[in-house]
Amino acid sequence: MAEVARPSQNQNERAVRRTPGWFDERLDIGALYRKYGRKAFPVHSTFFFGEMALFAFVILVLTGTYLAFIYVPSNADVTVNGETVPEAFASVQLIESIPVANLFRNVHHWAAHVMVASILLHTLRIFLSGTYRKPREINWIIGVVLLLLTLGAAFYGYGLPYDSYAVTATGIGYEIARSIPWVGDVVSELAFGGTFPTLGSLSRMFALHVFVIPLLIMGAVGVHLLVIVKQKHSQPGYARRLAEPGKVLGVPLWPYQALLALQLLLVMFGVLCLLSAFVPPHPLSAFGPPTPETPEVKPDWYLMWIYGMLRIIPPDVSFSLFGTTIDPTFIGGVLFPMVFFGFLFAVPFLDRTNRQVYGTYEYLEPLRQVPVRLAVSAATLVFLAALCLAAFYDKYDLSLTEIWAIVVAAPVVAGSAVYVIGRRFEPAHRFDTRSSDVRVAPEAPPTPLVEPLHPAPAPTRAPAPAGVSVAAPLPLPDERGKRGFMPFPTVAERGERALDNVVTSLHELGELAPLVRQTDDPDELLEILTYIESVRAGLADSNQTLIGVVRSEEELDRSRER
Amino acid sequence: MVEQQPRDRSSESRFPRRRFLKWLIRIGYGAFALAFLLPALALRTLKSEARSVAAGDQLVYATGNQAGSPVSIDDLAAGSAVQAFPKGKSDNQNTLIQLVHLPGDSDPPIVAYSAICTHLGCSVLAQLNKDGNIVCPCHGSVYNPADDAAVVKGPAGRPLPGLPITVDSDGAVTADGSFDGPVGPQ
Repeated sequence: MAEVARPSQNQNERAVRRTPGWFDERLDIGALYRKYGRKAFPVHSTFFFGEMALFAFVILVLTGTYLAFIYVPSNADVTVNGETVPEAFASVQLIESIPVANLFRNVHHWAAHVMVASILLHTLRIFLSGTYRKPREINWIIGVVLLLLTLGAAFYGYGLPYDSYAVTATGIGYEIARSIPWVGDVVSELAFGGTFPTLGSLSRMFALHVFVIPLLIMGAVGVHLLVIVKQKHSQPGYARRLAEPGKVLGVPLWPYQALLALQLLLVMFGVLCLLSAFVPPHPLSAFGPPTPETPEVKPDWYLMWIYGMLRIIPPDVSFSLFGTTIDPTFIGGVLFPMVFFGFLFAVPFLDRTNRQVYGTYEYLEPLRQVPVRLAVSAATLVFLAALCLAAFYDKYDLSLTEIWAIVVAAPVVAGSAVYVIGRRFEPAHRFDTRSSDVRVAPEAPPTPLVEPLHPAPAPTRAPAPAGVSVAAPLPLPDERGKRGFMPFPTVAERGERALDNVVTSLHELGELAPLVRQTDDPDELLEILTYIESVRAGLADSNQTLIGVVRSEEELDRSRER
Repeated sequence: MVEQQPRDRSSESRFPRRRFLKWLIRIGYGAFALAFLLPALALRTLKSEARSVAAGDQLVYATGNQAGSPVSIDDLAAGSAVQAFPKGKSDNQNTLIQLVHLPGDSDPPIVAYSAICTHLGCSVLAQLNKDGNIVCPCHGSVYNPADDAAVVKGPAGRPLPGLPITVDSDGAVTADGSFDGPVGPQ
C-alpha cells in the first residue's frame, strides 16, 4: 500500500531482530501491523469529527448494554410502591434509583446528542472541503445513511422510558408514519408493533432501537472505514508541498493516531460523565408517567426542523392521487424530509465541479475559493434554523404568513450575502485539489534517477566486516521532533536523504556479495543474509521515494514551462 | 448406424447451461430474501381491542384527584372545560372527551367533543385558552368549542368530532351515542 508510511531503517532492523512473541508466532500480528499499522492519518483538527461520532456510538453501545440489563420493554401496568405505572416506566425508575445506572442513562442520552452533532459537523466539513467528490461519493452516501440511522435510533430512544413525553412523541411519529399513502398502515404497524400504543409496541421499538439499527450502524461504519482505508484520507493542502504525489502525509495509525484516538475517547467519556452528573438531560420526574393529558412536548434540536415544518404547513395543502389523499402531515413530516435528504444524497452528483474523468480530488479545498459551497451551507443552515424558529412561532407572536416569509426569505438572503462576500475574498490563485499524479503523463519514459538531481556522493560507510556486520545501522538523523511527531521534511530533503540511502545501500550490497561466498559457518551466513534483507528493504523504500521525488520535480518543471 | 456427432465445444452450446445455473442461483437468493420478507410483514398483526363510547356510558373525570369519579357539571364554571372518560373505558385513550361549559347563554351550555386532536393524535389541553378555545399542545391547533369545534388555526384539517350528551338534573353527564366522526387523525 502506497500510503503506508515507510518504516525507517531502524524499525526494519528492529523487526528483523525481535524475537516474535507468543501470539505473534501463532497469528503473525506483525503482518497486521506492517499492513495497517502505519496507515497515515493526516493531522487536521476537523478530522476528529468522524472519530467523535464513532466514539459517541461506542459509548452509546456500552452504556446502552448496561441499561438493557435492567430495562423492561413492556407497557403493561404494574403497581410499584403503591403507584400504578407502565412496567417500562417502573424499570426506568429503578434505573434512576441506582446511582451508576442513572449516570449511564444520562451519559447515554447526552452521547446521543454528541453523536448527532458530530455527524452533522463531519458532514459540514466534508461538504465545505469538497471531499465528497470523486472518488469519495460512496462514502458520502454511506455517511448520509449513517445520519438517517442515527436519527432513527434517537427517535426510538425517546419512546423507551414510556413517560408522558415518550408516549406523546412516539404517538406523533406513529401518526406521521400512518400518513404515508397506500402503505402507511403497514409501515406504521411494522415500525410501532401494531396500532400504537399497544402491548407489542415497546418490544418492537426496543428490538429496533437495541438490535436492528445499531447493527445496521455497525455495518455501515465498517464499510465507511474500509472505504477510507482503500481510498486513503483526503488531505489538507499543505500535504501537496510536503509529500510526493499519491502519498498521504500524516501520523501513523500505531502508535500516534491510536493514542490520540484513545485520548479523545477518554476525554469524551469524562466530559459526558460530568455533563450527566450536573445537567441530567431527561429525568423521569420532568414528565411523569403517561396520563390522558398531553404535555407540551418538543422534539430534541435535531428533529426540530421537521417539527417546525409540521407546525406551519397549512392544513389545506392536500390533494387526491390514485384513490388516496396526500395530506399535509405526509407532506410536512415525510415528503419534506425525504426531499431534503434526497438533495443531501445527491450532493456529489449535483456538484458541477465533480466531472473529472481522469484523476481524483485528494486535497481539502480552501474555504476562500468555494463561495458557492459556503453560500449553500449558509442557506441550508439558516433554513433549518428558520424551521426551528417556526416550531415556536406563536410564542413570538408571529403570524403564519410572517413565519413563512422568514422560512423562505432568510435562507435566500443569507446565501446571497455569503456568496457576494465570498466572491469578493476569492483568491486570485486557485489551489488545485486534484491528485497531482494525474498530471504526470503516465507514458513518460523512465527518468534518469540519479544524474540530473545530484552528483553521486562517495559512499560514506565502510563495509560491514564479517562477523560484526549487523551491529551498525545506516546513519539516519533523528527523525523525531520535540513533540513526538515526525517533522515533515521538504521534498528536496527527502530526495537527498533517499539518494544517500540508495547509493550507500548499493555499495553495501556490493561489499556483502563476496562475504556470502566466503563464509562456511551457517550461523554467520544467516546473519549476513538477514542483514542483506534489511539493507534490501531499505534500498527498495528509498528508491521508491526517489522515484516519487524526481517525478514531482519533473512535474514542477513542466508547470513552470506552462 | 447412427452417425456420431462430434460434441460441440463452442461457447454457444455451453453458455445457456451456465446462464441457466446463474439464474437458478439468483432465484435461490431471491427466495431466501423473500423467506425473511414474509415473516417481517407478519410482524404487524398485534392489535389491541379498542372500546369506544356508546349510548348510556356515564362520564367520569379523566385526571386530577377525582379521576374515576362521576363528572359533576355543577362544578364546571362557565368558560372552562374538563376532560372525562366513559366509565370503565379509560384504557382506550381515544375515548377521551372534552367537556366544555360555554360562556354566556348559549344553547346548549354544555358541549362534548373528542379530546383527541385530529392533526396527529395528541390529547388537547383540558384548559381553554384566553379566547375560550380548545388548544392542542403538540403543534398548536386551535378549535372553537362554540362553533362545533371548527379549526380556528393551525395544522389540523378537521374539527374535533362531537359527542351527543345528556345532563341530568344532579349534574351527572351521560353519553347519548358515539362520536359523530372518526376520532384522531385519519
